[in-house]
Amino acid sequence: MSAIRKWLEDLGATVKKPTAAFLMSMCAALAVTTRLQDGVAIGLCITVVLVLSSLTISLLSSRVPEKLREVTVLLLFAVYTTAADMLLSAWLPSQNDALGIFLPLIAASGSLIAWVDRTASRMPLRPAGLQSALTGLRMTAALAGLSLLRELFGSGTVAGFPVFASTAPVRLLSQPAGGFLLFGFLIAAVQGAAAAGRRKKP
Amino acid sequence: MKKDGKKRLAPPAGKFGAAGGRLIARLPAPAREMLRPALRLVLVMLAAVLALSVLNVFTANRAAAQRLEKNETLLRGVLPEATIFTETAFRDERAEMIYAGYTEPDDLTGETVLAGYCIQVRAYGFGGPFELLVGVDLDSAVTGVKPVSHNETVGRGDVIGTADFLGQFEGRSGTLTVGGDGNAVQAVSGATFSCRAVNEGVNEALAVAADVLAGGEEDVPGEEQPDVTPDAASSAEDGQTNGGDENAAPTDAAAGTTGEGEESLVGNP
Repeated sequence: MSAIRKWLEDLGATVKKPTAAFLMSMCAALAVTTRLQDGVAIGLCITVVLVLSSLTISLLSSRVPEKLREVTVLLLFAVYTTAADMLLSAWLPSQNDALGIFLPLIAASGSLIAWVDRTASRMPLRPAGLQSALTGLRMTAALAGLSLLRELFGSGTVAGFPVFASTAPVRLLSQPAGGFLLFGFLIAAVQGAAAAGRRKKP
Repeated sequence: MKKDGKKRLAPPAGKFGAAGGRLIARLPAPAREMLRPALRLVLVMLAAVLALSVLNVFTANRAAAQRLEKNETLLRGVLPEATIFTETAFRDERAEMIYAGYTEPDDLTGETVLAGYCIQVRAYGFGGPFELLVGVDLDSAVTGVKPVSHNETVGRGDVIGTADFLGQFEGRSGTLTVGGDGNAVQAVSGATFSCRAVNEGVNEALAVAADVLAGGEEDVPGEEQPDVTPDAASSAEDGQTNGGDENAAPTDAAAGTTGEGEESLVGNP
């Protein structure tokens, strides 16, 4: 129990950083977190797009005028998302079908674009890659956890393998409304832990 | 890109040609300030488009092949007897697409025979319209039903994708109803609306198939023509021995038109 508490506190500490904004980016991804593999897949796609965009803008930042930087980041996101979509539809068509419209929608994740524009573009290559990879993987972990809970309690399976012999215990969880509810509880837990951590420290 | 970087420091010349550079330099300062980033943005976008075009060359064919294969798998799922599928020339406003399914080429003669049709119709489910693929053999009996994709409620309406529900349609013909006596399929409780949607789709597909089987013989490509009639007769026999009470659809179809294939269908047994 204390391990979970510790983990939540750690997570809470990260939420205090700009990461909190990334939680909002997860809203679009919520729609596809009904199966573990979809949550992981969309998380990894986000990570790849984020890392590549950060690296590219870090490389180009000295050559891209200030005025154009935001537009360039937008463009980079669009390009890498399109590329991910193309590659997935050629080599993993079933996963591409499962993610559907939410894969191209990565190009519209505003808070990530803002982060790359403000932070990653001012970093040298290596920290930019590292930071963005960490951010992406953290999001992947959160999405994977969310989809695991939703799949387990919503459909009674884990990654498609049945766990509960009977029908799903909480059907609501596999629906969008259930996803948002669970997401809300998750944020509440994380914020609560963060608040507890703050109270303890001083 | 390197040249771009230098260009910011030096007056723009060289790449656009001296004339272009001079033209930009001669513009009033506000216009120059707007034009230069815009031109640079155009360059960046061109690079992006170029990169994506190159990637598209490598992925487009494969993605198309994957889509085709998925479609083929779906078609085989609803018309297991056939292995070769072609889009037909038949057009019907009730159907999105009509495929003809042919059997595996015979080892000795290399002949393929028409096994049936796969009809893609639109069904109106609880989560919006979805595509439904229905396989119909030459006796106007359903060989398989499969939704291409659907948005029915997870855990409720999505039972329409299960073999348990869809299996009910196999071997049926005529006009089906949901629940009740006679030619009926059983709806899954809690998903009646979705089940009705599938049933209506199947009925529509059966109606289209009946028209195709009745009147469409002359539309079948020439070389297939001789193969069709004997096969239709032999599978008509099969149908007769399997379930004798299901010749509602052929007679329905015969009411409108009496094509050659129809005669052989009725005449042979």
